[in-house]
Amino acid sequence: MRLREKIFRIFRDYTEPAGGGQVNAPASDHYSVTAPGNDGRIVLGGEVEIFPAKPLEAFASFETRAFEARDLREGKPLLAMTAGRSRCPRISAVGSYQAIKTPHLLKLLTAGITEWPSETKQVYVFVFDMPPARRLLPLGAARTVRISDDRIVAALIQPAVSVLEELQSIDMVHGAITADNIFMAGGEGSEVAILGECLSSAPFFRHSAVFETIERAMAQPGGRGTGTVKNDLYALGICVAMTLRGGNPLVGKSNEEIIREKIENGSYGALIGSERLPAYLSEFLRGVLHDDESARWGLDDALRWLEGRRLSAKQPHNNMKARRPFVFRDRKYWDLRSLAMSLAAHISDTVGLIEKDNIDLWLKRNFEDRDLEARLETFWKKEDGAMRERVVAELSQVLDPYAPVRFKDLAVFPDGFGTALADAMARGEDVQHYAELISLQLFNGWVNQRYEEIPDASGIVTLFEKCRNFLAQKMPGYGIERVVYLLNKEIVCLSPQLRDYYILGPGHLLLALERLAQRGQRLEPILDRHMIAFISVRDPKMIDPYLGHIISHDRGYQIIGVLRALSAIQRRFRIQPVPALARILLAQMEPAVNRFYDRDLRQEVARRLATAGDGGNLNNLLEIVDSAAVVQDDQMRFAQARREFAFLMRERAGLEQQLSRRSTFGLASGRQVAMLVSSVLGAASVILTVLYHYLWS
Amino acid sequence: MSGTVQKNNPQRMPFSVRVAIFCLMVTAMLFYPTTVLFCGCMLPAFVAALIDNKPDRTAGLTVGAMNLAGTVPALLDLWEMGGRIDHALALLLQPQTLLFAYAAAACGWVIYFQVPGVVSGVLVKRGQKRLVDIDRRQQDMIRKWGPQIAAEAPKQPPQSLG
Repeated sequence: MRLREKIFRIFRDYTEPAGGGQVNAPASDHYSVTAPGNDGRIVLGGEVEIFPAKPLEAFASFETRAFEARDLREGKPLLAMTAGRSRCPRISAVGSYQAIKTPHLLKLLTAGITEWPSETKQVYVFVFDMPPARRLLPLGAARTVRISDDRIVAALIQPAVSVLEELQSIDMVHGAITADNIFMAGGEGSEVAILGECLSSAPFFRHSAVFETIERAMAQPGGRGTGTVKNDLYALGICVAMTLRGGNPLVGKSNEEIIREKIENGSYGALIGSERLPAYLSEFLRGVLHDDESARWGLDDALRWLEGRRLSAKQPHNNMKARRPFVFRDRKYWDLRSLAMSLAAHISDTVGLIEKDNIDLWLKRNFEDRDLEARLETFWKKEDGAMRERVVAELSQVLDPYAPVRFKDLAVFPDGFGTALADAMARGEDVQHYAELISLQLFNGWVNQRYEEIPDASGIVTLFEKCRNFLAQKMPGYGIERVVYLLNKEIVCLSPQLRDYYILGPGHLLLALERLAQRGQRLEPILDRHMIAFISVRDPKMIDPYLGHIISHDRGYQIIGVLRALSAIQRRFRIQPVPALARILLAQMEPAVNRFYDRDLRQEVARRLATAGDGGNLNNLLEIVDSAAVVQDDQMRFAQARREFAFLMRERAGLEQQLSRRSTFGLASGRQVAMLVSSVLGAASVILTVLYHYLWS
Repeated sequence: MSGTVQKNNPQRMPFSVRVAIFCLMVTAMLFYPTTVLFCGCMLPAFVAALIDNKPDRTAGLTVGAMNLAGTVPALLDLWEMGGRIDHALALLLQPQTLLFAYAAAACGWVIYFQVPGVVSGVLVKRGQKRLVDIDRRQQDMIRKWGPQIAAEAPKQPPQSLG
């Protein structure tokens, strides 16, 4: 089965029923996990073999490891990359990526989940064509590949823009255009760029600050959000600028210094400095590196420029500057963005500053901006009595509404929150700050300050309000676990029990539980908070109808709920029988069996469960222990028995009371009987007398 | 002050009963000799009805039924002799007539005093057996449904099991 079809099938199955209730293991099962051979090699999809013992350190980056691989049909060397799950690899984009037919993007051959030898854990592997040896900026090198000014358009800009055009047609961004992820094919003088892969991490996750716009560079890597093609063009502009300068002019500087440099001189100024460039290149770079997003070039502008049309020269973005500097922590600040960044980073000092009121005075005297005044007015009204971290976060938003929300140690945009949270959760970090950020509704404030500019602003507000409600609910299936799966469509199930498994959907989850059961791992509870939230968000029909049972304090109801959910998953995704999991379920089934009132029925159900458990078909177990007709019949018979029992008690009490008065018991009836006897005898005598008198006398 | 003044009216006899009594009186008057003989012979029954202080007041009927059986031969004789008053008095003064009627009434009294004791004994035995059956049935139900069936039994069960 082709990879694209495989991927399509996975995501189709998320929404469409597979049909039929019979559990059959399909011949080609997309839930199957490739296991390594005895020699340690992994044959993935019958197309490529991967050599886990041969790492390629040159292509590895943080949490993404690279290994040698080989095409089994053509024998050509390939590059296998395993993705760290905290980086939220873009598995849903694999099919779209593979559909792109361009020589300027690293080709994906296959991908899938494999058991990684020596680690006994599952990883997701992408297998790409082996990229050319030369990178635009070789690793560890200070200087880029030399490309002459007149070749740079054909060698770098044109190929990259054509890839971005292809990506935009399928509604994708690249999100990983960096100088070390652009490979140069061809010899000197005929170089042509091939963009490296962009699937092994969330978009823009691997970018360093230099490749990001000023505001996005302020966010933590996972919190930058999905971005747009403008961000890809910006990163391309940075690569072009580096190539023209022969290297990274900002090398050795910290992220904060790079941002300050860009704020101070503009992105173009920070990268190009006083270098004289040909006019057409300068025009391109000024366009794509413009610091005002609304004025920054989009793909259409870049394409028009490539066609040779000259666009009006972009004026550098004017950053508002104060007439007098503001001194904070012994440093002079002339602009709001730098100051906001510094204030957000030093909470205690900022709180002291707010109490002194001198920042308000400075702002009023140095900036005649009505929007700023309005924002400040709102801020001062809300500030009184608020939590200090919140005050600082809101003040920095007021001063720089384009910057990410900065709260405590977080700096995230709303659409990057899901990835940042998933990253933190996958690493086992404390996510309390993320929960607080939602609870304090800081994104609402961020959106409201730029409501008109943000597309689907109301959607963002609604989404985070929904998240806030989920956080307020402590029951399994809700809380921060639900928020992470809701806001991040790519993240696998992060249950601590499943840390060795790569869980893309409910079907994978069931198979992983079976594997855990086979290993003899204790599964109690069988579905933890993460698993419940994961299934509930990814495929609500599989678990939501049974959530009431699953979260019940009654162990019987709980296990029935779990069995219902797992059985629904097995039926829908046609998962093979799971006998080991069935045995674990059986061991926990006692309270469910005890739900039946009829003791004889309990014994019968337990006997039938023990027989059915070996088959591994959860539906069979469910039909035995949760058959609506049997349960209803048991309840009805119990209700009838209760009535009968009560009737007998009443009768018994009455009898005992009557028998306690034995001297009078039955006398009234006896007198009635006596009367009857006397009447019968009397009547009989009268008749006989009359007959005797008239007939025989 | 609103309110209704309730008159303490004695319960009036239904019209049909009054008609029946009237008819009986007329009949008694018409068959005067028979009435005299009947009243003389049925005296024990009237006494039994008068002295019975049990709520069901069955003594009159029990004794009366047997008493009537003993009176019927005398009545037949009366009607055969012509049914005049002198015949009725003559029969009434014969000891044989009264002895027969009163002996029958005595049998009625025997029935009245002996049968209830026998019936009561039978009912006690039957009640005791029913208690044992109930106990056994309840034990069976507790084994099948658990002790909760006793704990959760409704306090006011329906009249029938349905």
